[in-house]
Amino acid sequence: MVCNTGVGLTPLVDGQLHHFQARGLYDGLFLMRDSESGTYWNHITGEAVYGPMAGKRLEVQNVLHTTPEQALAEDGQTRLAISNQSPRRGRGRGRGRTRSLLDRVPVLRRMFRSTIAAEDTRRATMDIGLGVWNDDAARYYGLDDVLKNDRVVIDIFSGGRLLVFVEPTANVLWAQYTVADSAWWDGQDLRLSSGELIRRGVTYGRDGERISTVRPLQVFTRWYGFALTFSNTEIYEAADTR
Amino acid sequence: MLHLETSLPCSISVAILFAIGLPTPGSAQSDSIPRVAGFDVNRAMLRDGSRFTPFLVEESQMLRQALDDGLIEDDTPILVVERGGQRLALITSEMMFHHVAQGEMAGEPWMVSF
Repeated sequence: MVCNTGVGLTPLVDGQLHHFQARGLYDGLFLMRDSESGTYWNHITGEAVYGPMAGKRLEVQNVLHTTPEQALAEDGQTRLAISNQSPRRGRGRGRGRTRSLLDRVPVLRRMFRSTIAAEDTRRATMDIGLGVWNDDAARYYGLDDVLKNDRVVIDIFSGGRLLVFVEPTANVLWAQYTVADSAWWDGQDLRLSSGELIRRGVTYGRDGERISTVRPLQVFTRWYGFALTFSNTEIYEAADTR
Repeated sequence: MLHLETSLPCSISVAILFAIGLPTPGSAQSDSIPRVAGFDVNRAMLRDGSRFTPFLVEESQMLRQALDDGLIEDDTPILVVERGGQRLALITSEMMFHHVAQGEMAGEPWMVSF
């Protein structure tokens, strides 16, 4: 979608499997509709907003924006699903036409804007950043702010220490909880004051063994969609935490 | 260049596809239909049909093999979903077409919206 918001959801409603499809626009974001009940759902929060199931929620999980190189570093058994319906099928998916448009200045088209009552103007509409959220809070980390701080910041989010960084293999913003109070780059590796190291998106402990990490719900997205979805969004204020 | 920007072509296709046959915001919507507080149906674009075919995933292959076969590149943007300790990658550019993918992994249903 134009907002680039990829979200994982569990398509169960009251324990029953439902089937979803993009069927509308609201706040500049697409709405899903399930074929079983005809209800429209917010595709980021999983909330049923209009229809018989209004008020129900789908369980939400993270989806990682990444690359095959990084995904295989994390798990060599990762599988790939390839669509036989997408018009972009064929060898070299994700290349060619897509890449030739990389430098276009993004704009939110009028049709999308017509579904928005009032934008949150604290940031530019199509500003890029990482939005993190839980039941109590939402915070937005602008890419520019993270880049200004040498591509890594450590912040306190909902009482937890959060590491937000540009993962250099996938070249996207990621967030994970940490006990470290500072971080610095060693080439492509991110070293943490706790003795851990993050290489190609995989975290290793002092002993060099992989360790699991905890990530808050997060989306690498455009400002407008995140701010309209989470009206309580705070904006991370850049500060040198290294 | 960050991979987020690869979504830009989507804005064009989405605009075209949504515009075709799409009712104006709020048209023909009933006041009696349940909705959550704050949802303003008058500015929603809702439609009965859709040209966005969801991706119903029934088959997959090893990501490494797809790389070796040249189906994708090392740096092709993908989305990775995890269930029950298993991971499945979806090609971001294909999700720009489908917007919704769903299937079952490790015996658990999953869905990705994009």
